[in-house]
Amino acid sequence: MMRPMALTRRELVHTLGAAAGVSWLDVPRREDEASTSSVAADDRSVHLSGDGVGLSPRAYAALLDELARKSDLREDNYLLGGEIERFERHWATLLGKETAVFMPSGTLANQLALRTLAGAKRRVIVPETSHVYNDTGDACQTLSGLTLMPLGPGAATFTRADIEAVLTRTAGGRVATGVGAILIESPIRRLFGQMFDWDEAKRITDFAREHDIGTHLDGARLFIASAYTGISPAAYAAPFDTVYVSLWKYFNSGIGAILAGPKRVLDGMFHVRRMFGGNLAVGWPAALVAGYYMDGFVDRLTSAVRVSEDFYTAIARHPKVTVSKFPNGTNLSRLTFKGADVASVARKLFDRGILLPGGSPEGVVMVGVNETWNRTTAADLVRAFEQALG
Amino acid sequence: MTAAASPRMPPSDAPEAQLAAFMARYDPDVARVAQEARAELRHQLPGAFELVYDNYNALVIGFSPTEKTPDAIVSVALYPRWVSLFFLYGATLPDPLRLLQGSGKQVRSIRVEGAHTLKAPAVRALLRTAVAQSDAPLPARGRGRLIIKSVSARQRPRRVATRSR
Repeated sequence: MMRPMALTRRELVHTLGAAAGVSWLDVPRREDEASTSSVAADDRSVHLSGDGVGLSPRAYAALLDELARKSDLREDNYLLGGEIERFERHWATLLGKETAVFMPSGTLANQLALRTLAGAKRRVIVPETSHVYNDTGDACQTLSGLTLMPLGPGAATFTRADIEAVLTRTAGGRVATGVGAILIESPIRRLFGQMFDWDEAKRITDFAREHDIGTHLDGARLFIASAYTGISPAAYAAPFDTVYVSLWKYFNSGIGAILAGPKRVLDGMFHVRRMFGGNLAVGWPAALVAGYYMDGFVDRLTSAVRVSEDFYTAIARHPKVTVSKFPNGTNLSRLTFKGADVASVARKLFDRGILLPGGSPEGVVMVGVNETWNRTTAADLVRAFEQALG
Repeated sequence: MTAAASPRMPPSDAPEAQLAAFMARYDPDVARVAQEARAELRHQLPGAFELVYDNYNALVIGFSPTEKTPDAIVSVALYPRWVSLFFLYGATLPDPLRLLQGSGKQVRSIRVEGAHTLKAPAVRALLRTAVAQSDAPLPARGRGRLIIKSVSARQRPRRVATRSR
């Protein structure tokens, strides 16, 4: 991108400040101007937890104002047209799907995808550890009449053999029924960001396609996985019929989700979304903010991951700190402090703009990598921890 | 006023010596931070010319692909209490971590605490993008010269005034 046009003569005269001997390189006329002039720049902290940047209300409002002024914003009407339509097209391209639909929440996106994919075959296979199975108040069962069949208790991955066993059992039932959809969630929050085994996921989706079973990926944190594996979001989405991605968790939009897939599944989704009370009057604010953070996110998080990996390697040598990673994990790790008061360490780090989440009585702290790690360096983090640990 | 006409320095002084003299008027901590910032910018912007303005408000070192001031990409400014890095076309830079301060049409800045500020990946990304947006490319090889562009005859105090007891 080229820089904007050069200064106009009026601007040049103004900024040269010739009479006062001020060069245009010396922009602020008062020493305090630089530190007080932006309401958006109110948070320089490094957040050692959470998936997003943790925009404060002021920062969010300022960013929204800035984006609205810079863009040729077109309002949507009940999530139709305008900014939302452009946003949905962008997402469809990004995920390599025919179309995409804005949803007010991931909970709704998952349910509407599963009920549509399942059609008349009301059984749906889900991971026992999944959000859909554990954290939605049985919404799929209660509101969509689906029978969820949990597999892989306590595990990140179930297998094609597990699916085959369910199909065999279902086929042998005295009342004809069928499995209409399979859900895979990856990364899995209940398992601290561990990922579903990718090769097994592809075996399962191949099998599902052969048996006319729909597949849905709960990829709320899909872009985080991409930063850890190098597998693009589109590559992750490719084997599945539909995929959901959160817009607020790390794209910082505050609300919203995207559901992408084939037109044959999603074309009538506007009506289903409305039926479930999901037709917001406008969605453009979420689209603007999420759109801003989407661009380049994987590269930026990859950079933050490098900071974190260097930090973990270095801090693990400290006698008071143990670092524990999760197998096939993503952005969560455990730091265990021995012979150190976590609250005291957190207070000292806070004074340096580093926000350590609370720990257990045993001194275990769950640390999460997000974009804010790019605000610092591994060396700085290590130095801050060493000083905080005494 | 040009450097040669300044009563504050003899014209024969080498630019490095002149700049060192300008910096020496600041609190040592401020000068140290500025030196670290300058060294890090020379590392990240190899080939950039350093254009020095010892202005009324602040000592400013611009980093430019050419000897021309309007081509400058960033500048380091020393104030009595802190050092700032100005992105001279910062308003167009993507800043997802909201590091940049300022609300004008063109310039944005960040406060510099040392070389580590400029080594943070987010700041490196800002610098990379600023270079990419520059109309004039950085020289592919060599090291740009240090040029004393101007020295203001009148200057604000370079250190915070201390009260006598």
